[in-house]
Amino acid sequence: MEITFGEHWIAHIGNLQVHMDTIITAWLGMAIVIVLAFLSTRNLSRVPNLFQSFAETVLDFVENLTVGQVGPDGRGHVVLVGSLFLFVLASNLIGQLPWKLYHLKQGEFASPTNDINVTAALAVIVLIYYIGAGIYKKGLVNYLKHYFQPVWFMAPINLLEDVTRPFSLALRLFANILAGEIIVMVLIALLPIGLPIPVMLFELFVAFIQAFIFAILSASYIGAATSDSH
Amino acid sequence: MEPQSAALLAMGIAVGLGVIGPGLGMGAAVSAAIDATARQPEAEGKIRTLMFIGLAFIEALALYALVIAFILMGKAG
Repeated sequence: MEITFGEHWIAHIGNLQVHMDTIITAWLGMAIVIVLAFLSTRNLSRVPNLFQSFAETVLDFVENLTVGQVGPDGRGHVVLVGSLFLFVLASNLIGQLPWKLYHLKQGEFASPTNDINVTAALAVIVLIYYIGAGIYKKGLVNYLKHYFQPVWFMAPINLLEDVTRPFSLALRLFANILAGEIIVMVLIALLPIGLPIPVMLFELFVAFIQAFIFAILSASYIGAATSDSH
Repeated sequence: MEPQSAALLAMGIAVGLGVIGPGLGMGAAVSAAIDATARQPEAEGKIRTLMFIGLAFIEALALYALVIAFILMGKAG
């Protein structure tokens, strides 16, 4: 059986090429997060119903994560870190649904995060945000001074970190999710009944872990950019 | 040797050699985490969080090798 990956349903908008299957599943992920958020925050009350208590648990988790990395005055950053966590988690989990039932002429529906464009976009958002947060908190001159921080000749290395951090964030998420999908594809080609199941369960675990790692590393980069000491 | 065969060979060698280092590294990281938990069981939550973060960094290196294999797959025809 032929195993191919990396093919996407490409639509041409203007003179740009667009991966329509990624866009559709990414919008589905966004819709899930937004609908859950909407359902959880109608009729907020002191005695929470199921949705509200679930949302409070998630918020507690993300806030502890962010404040642990950024410090106690970092509660404002929970907005970005929480959005990243929820979107990456929903996107990773969407790929585990039985999409193969629906046939596309080119490519197939799967996690939007198996497309490097999505993860690279999220990583660039984190890069712009942490540089912006650092400049907002410390002022432009002090922020630039921190590139020379432990010793002045560390400046090229610190500058290089601004390139490798988003690169590694994007690549880690993309390769984890894509490699999981490829392994499941290969196992299905070998023995479709029973053999892929442990790997598919492991992929659910990987979905949570990768979302958590993306969020906590983003929070850590924000913390490093806004902290006073090095 | 044609480029296609060289690319196929390189894919295998890249992933094969590329995961040795991270494999040893992850073993060391998890072993240190287990030792620390055995020494102080009440710190288990924090140690587990740090272990996962460390493993994610190490695993990223193995995934760089895998991405090289993906790139070579295009050249392998």
